[in-house]
This record gives sequence, C-alpha cells and structure tokens, in this order.
Amino acid sequence: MKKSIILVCGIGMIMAAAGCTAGQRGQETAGQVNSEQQTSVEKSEEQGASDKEGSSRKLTLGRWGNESQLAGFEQSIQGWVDEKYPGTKMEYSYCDGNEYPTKLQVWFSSGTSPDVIRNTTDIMYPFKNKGMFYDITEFVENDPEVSLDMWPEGIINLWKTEEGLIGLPVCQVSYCIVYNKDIFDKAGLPYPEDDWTEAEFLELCEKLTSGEGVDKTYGVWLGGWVTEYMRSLYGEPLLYDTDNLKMQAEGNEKFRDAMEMFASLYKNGYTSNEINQTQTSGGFVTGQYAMAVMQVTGTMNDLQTSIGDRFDWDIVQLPYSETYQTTWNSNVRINGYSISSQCKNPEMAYELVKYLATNESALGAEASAGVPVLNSFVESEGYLNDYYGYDANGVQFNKMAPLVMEQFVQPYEFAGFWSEINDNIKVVFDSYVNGVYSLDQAIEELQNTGENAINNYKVENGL
Amino acid sequence: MVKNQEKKVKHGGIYKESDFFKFVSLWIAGFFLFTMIPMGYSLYTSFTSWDGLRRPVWTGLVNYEKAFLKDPMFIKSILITLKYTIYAVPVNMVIALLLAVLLNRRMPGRDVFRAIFYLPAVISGVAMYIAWQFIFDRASFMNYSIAKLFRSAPGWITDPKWSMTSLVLINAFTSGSSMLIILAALQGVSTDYYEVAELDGARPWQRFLYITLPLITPTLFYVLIMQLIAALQIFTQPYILTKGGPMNSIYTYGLHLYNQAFRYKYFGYASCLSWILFLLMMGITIFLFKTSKLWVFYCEEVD
Repeated sequence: MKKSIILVCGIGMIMAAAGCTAGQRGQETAGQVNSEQQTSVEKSEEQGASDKEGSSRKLTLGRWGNESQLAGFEQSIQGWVDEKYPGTKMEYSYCDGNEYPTKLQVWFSSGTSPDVIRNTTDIMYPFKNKGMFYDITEFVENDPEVSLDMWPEGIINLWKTEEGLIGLPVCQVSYCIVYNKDIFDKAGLPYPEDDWTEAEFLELCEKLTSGEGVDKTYGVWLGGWVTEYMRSLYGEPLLYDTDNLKMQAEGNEKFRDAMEMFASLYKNGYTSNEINQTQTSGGFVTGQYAMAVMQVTGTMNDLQTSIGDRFDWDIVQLPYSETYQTTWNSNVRINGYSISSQCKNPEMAYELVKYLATNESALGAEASAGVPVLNSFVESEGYLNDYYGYDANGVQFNKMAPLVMEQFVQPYEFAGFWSEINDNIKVVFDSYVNGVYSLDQAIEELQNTGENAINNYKVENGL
Repeated sequence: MVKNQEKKVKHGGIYKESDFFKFVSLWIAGFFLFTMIPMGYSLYTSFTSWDGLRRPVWTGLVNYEKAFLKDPMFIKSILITLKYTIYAVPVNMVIALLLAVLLNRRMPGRDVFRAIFYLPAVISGVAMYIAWQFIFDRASFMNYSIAKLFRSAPGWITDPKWSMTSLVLINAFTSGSSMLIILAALQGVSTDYYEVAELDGARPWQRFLYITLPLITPTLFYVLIMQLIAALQIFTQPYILTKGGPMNSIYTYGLHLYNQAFRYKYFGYASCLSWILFLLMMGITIFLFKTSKLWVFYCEEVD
C-alpha cells in the first residue's frame, strides 16, 4: 500500500521536475534564439516556398483588446492570410489593456508567447535587450518594399535597441486638448485655436468653471495620468532621464513650474478633485468639463460613441508656453508589432508585421487605437477625410492637430521599475494638492524616492 | 483483535487502511505538485534576485534586509493592512451575527431575506467592486442624493480620509457568507437550553449572552480565522477601486506584493514578501488558537 502512495507521489514529483526543466529550457531557448537567428532566417526562407504552396501551418498573434472590438482587425488579417498563405490557421490571444504588461511577462517567462506580439514603446523596457524579441533588421534590409524612412525618424528610432530592430510602428498616441463647444457657446467665449497660449488656457479654465456641487461645470478635465503631462511639459530636462538612469526633480525649474501649474488647477477648483483616474463617470464625456487634456486617436471613435449627439466638440493643439517658448510637450507611446524570439516561422511573422504596419486597410483598422505613423498613409486624403473609422458620418474634428503635436512629444516609460517612480509621482502630487507637502518638500520627496527606485534597479541588475 | 478494529464494515464490504491511502494519494500528489513544490520554489526565489525572465541569482538575505531596512512601503503597507483588518473583521462579524440572529427567527419572507443577504457572496468579486466604483463615483445617484441632502457628498474613493471607510463598507456588504455559517450554528443550538432558561426567568438578551453566544463560539472562532486571513490578504478591492490611492491610503500589503512582482519585475523580492505575509498570518493564527482556550466553548469539554 505504502508502495502505491510512494509511486503516485513519485510520479507527481517527476512530472513537476519535468515541468520545471521544460520551463527552464523554454527560457534558454528564448535567450538563445537571437544568437541563432541567422540559422532560423535561413531555415524559414527555405520554408517560405512551401508556405506559398499552401501547406497548413499556424501563426499566433497576441494583443490587447477583445474579440468583439477586433472583429474588423481579424477580418483584415484573414484576407491577407487567404491571399498570401492559404491554409494557414491564425490564432489570437487577447487580454485587457491594463493587464497587458503582466500578460507579456507571463508569455515570456513561461515560453508561450505568440509569434507576433502587439508591442508599445512604453511597456517594452523590462523585456528589451533580454532576448525576448526577434531582430528584424535583416528582413527589412532585404525587403525591397520596406524602408525605414517610410516612418518619421524619431518614431522608428524608438524601435531600435541593442538587440537590433525589434518591430515596426503602426500608430502613436499623444495628447491634445478636446473642448466642448456648447459650454464655450453658453459662456460666450471664442473657441481656442491652435496658436493659443498657456495664459489663455488658464484664463479659459477660470472663466468656464461655474456652478457648485454635483451640478458644477469644470474648466478642464485631466484625463489619463497627471504625471504624464508634468514629466515633460516644457521639454528637457525631463523629470527623469531614462537613458542615463537619472532623476532630475531637484533644480528642475521646468518641472517645478509644470507641477505648480497643474496643482493650481485642482486647488482653484478648475478641475474636479478626482485625481488619477479614480472617477468612473467618464470625465469629459459627461458634458461637465469645458476642456480635457486627452489622448488622441485617428478616429476618436470611443469619444464619438460616448458623446453621441449630446454636445459638439473639437480638438486643438496643446497651448504654447511664453515663459519657456515651447508648445507643451506630451508623452508619446508608439504602438506596433514585434516578433517573439520563440517564433518558429519568423519569415511569415515578419510578413504579417509588415502587412499590419504598411497596408492602408490594416492601418485604417488601427486608427481607432492611435494616429497612424506611416508617412504615406497619414498624409493621404483618404485618412484625413475619414472621421469615424469606416463611417463618414462622424464629427469632423481637427485632424491636423495631433499630426502637428507629433513634433512636441517625449517617449515615456510605463513598465518595470519606472512604474514605481510614476506611482510615487502620483502619490507625491496628490499629497502636494492636498496640502500634506509644500512644493519644495514634494520635489525633494520625488527626488529621493526616484533615486531609491533607480538604485534598487541598479542593484537588482548588477549595474 | 487490533487488526480487526482497523477494519470498518460498510454495506457488507470491508475497507482496509490501505484503501484510505489509495483514495487520498491523488490528492497528496496534487498537493505536492500544485502547492508544496511552488511554495518550495517561492522560498528559494525569495533568496534570489529574479526578474521572471532569466534564471534567479542567489543573493542570500538581501531581499529580507531590503524589506525590513530599505523599503518604506513595506512597513506602511503592513500598517494599512492591519488597520483594515482591525476595522473590517469585527464589522463584518458583528453584521453577520446580527443578520443570522435576525434571520433565525420565524418571520414572513425569511428565506427571501436569507437569499438576498447571501447574494453578494455568489457574485463575482471583480464585477461587484466595479459596481461599487460606480456607486462611489462623484456623479452617482447615491452621491447626488447625499449632496442634495447635506450640500456635499464624501469623496468615497478620492478622499484619503474616506477611502478606508469605503473599503470596510464593501467588506461589510459581503457578510452574507459569514452569516450563513453562523446561522447554521444557531440552528444547531438545542431549544432545551432556552426552555430551561425561560423557566428560570431569563430575559431574551440574557438567553443570547449566556446560552447562544457561548454555544456558537467554535463557529465564531472559525469565521474569525477565515475573515482574518482574507483581510490580511486583501488585494482585489483596493486594486479595482483605486490601485491603492489616493495618497496610498489603501495601499495594502497584497498590492505592494503584486506591484513588486508584476509591475516592477522584482520577483525575488515579491517571493520574500509573500513568505513574510505567510509567517505573519501563521503567527496571528497560532496566537488566536492559543487564546481560544479562554473564550471558545466546546461542549465535549463539559463533563
């Protein structure tokens, strides 16, 4: 009897040990693939011919979103598969956007990442230069249809790492100001124009705030994360230097002024006291905010759907600071696609990435997620006149504003130890707004907590 | 003789001791596979530096040193979690006890009320907390009504002074499961005791205090332990509501652990934190078991 128990337990232990070994092997494979990439490329080139003959194979794609939202996206890819690789089975893995960095972690650590991965510049930090992504430099160099100057230089540079080119960009998400025309009309004030100043913005915030309690109309809604605006508002030096792992809160007049200015919006009651996305009622779409600093996409269809025909709205560029002689800088995240280093068929995966990054139909399907970055597409009449995805009846907003704002953006970090610093910034900003810290104390706290986080990272990574 | 005693006769068949082990062996294998081995690996990684991607690197006690000496959020998150536990567990238990006593009486619609109070325990936690997020919103019907009555409404999850209250309130809303367990215990109390007490002239509150309460203390003790463990592990509620804000006012230990692992990518340190939490919970549970001799009444102890 005891023998049978020992036998069952023994089998269990062996299975567990085997599982661990397989996991380790998966990790080793992930790290080794890049060094063995040349061989893989050669193999996949040999396999390419049989692909075109229609041999049955599978390609997996992982991204954030859900099936119902991405039906058009899948349809677009299926059309490409049927034409280019008939018989190939596409499989998709989706998850919620907020949980996507965690999903990436799980995929990579368990050795189960999809072949093609939706990637974005602000969450790749913990994974890049660790053998997780396939270097597609060689594919691009040998591809007569693709050249890196098809995208703005600053944008494509964000996809170049020590490992090489780890993906192609599709769209960018940066900030503009959205305003409620009805509230402006009611107040008898002219709409803001693209050459407006920070002083005019602050004056409008004051004039457009009215009423009390739950019926109050606020001058501005700060959607997203306040830290996103403060960190880089007036340009260099930014709050933290990601290249040199340096915190730059103390002695940084630009950051100090940005923090003070944003806090004044809360303290003066020009924006509601819900800080850091703790309000669920949707902010600007409620019609209680005259303006909103908001992430802009190519179609603004989420906003259009939420607002419907309840009020009129439009978009304007971020204001110009006369003190620092610059238009406000905002953070930018560039969405695109990478290939997993564990991918068994990188050539086919590259063809899919190329299709998603360069095909107008595919880019149109992505416009609801950001402003496309392919030069030829974004400058086309088709894109500039398409206001609601594939429905021409959407609000005809100022589509040039986000394109101009591309000149005033700073890359951002959202994952890894940088998120610890971002979290601290939120807490310190809240504390400053609530009077727990003075401005000097807040900046000192930011400097200290930021330096601690950077030092921790250096110790953990032996830097 | 001894051998015969070990055998149990049921439905004409004989089960041997070995049959028990055969039945339980699958569970033992599962326990090793899915609990003991991961726990062992977690203990190992707590002594390493590990980003979850590459192999862990042995660093000895560095993570433990970091927790106690270099991480201010470690102590802060423990204090916040203990504060929550101190408020939430008694509130939950008192409400559960009151509801159970109330619903143990014969009254119209009793079963409907039992189902209603138990309902939150059946609903998915995340869905319920998202619903609470909307209820606590500045523009919600509840806040609109409060603002109309009292000129202003609290910032339930936006004001650091109110966020802990909101968390305790949500927990109180889920006292249905504790209520059900206590209700079962109440129904197990023999009516003989009450009849004798009534004959002796005991008032209702005396009957509750001297008969009901002592007889259900084993169940209350069980509920207390379960509630305590759940409170110390609290994660989902603050994560869904505010991610620990505002101003880290509900930044619990569970959130700190999650952030260290899945957001900041310090998996070795997160393992260390999870072991500290395990030891803390074990310590508190052992302490409660020791003190239970003073207040938990087991019938079989009375000769």
